[in-house]
Amino acid sequence: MTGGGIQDLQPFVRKYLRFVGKASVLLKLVAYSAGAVIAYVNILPIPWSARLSWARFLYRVSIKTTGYLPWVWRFVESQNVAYEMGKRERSYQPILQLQKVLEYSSVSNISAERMKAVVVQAESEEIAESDLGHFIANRLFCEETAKRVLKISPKDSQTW
Amino acid sequence: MVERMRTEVVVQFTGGKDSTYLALLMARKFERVHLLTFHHSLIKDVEKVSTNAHKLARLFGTGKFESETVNVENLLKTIYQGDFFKDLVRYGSYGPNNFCGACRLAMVSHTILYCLKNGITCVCDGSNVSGFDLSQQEWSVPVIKKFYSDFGLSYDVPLYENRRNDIELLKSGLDADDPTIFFRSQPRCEGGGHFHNIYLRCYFLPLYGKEALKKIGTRWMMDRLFVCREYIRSRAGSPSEADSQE
Repeated sequence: MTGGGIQDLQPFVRKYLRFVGKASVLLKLVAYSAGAVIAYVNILPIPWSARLSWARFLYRVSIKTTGYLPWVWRFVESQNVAYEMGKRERSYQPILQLQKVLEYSSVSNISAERMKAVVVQAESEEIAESDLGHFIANRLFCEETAKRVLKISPKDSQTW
Repeated sequence: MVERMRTEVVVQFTGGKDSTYLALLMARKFERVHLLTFHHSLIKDVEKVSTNAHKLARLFGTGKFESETVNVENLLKTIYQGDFFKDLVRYGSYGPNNFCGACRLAMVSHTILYCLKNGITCVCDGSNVSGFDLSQQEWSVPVIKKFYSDFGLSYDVPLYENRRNDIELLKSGLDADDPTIFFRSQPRCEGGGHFHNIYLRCYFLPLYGKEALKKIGTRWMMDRLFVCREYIRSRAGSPSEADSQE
């Protein structure tokens, strides 16, 4: 039964992996097509004000896509690694999360002394830099708040 | 004037993690720090820079910092637009997609003008190896450094190799005499950078590779720095002073 089950599952896993592989290639194709469209639209001799409006439109679209499609982050990071430019250590999300935690601490009037105690504790426990946002959030806020604060939304993803 | 040259520094300041940390470090090193902020039509929430500027002033005293905001749009437009047909032949699609590079050179030029006007010779910014735009690439930094030096200014990027300036900034703020929680509070650019970011990652780099980018980027920058040089000469309070540095 068990052996048969695994054998039954394998083609499904294989199919799934093939689908993911194809999807990834497809998404890359979409990204490269978008890149080509943008490259050639920008060549057009359009007035300055229209160019700025086009830039704003592009900004909004990219913010939405990075927010709703985590694949875009992975694509950006994989391109950075491939061409050795920009952030290459999967640090976008940890940087954004730490930023959100500090912003929320400021709004909730967390004192600098309390924050310092948590950061000192993180140092003594040798918490990795990428986990610092999580660590601070879990020490300073209740579980539900920490979860909410750490969640990345489209409006957080402004630079990449 | 000589005394001022040695004791004052200009920091290109956005209120972000890199430039705030840099301003904090410079405040410990220099007697007076000039925080220079830039904006144009695509930059929103410029007032956000004041959050970290106020925190810095509270730590070091109000006399330590001088803040100024400069609109760079006219020069940015000149650098970006160039000569349409000539640029199309010379750079292909690269020039029209390098909004970010044009913006950065406009900032550099206005920083030089500010320094010449105020008799300051030290400039630094938070350029970082993790930055994606042209001006932060390792091959561009020496070109910009040379451009500053043509006007008798020393330009430095002290945080270039740092990977997590947000954490360094947080720790420095918390370790201060009056512990302060610093974090990024900066204006955002609504789109300019996206031309460049999307274009490079989704078109230029997959098609031509990094070496081609290095080549065309350097050529574009050298050509545009010529435009910047002319702009600075025409705008400097005493053009002869700018000329005499060469």
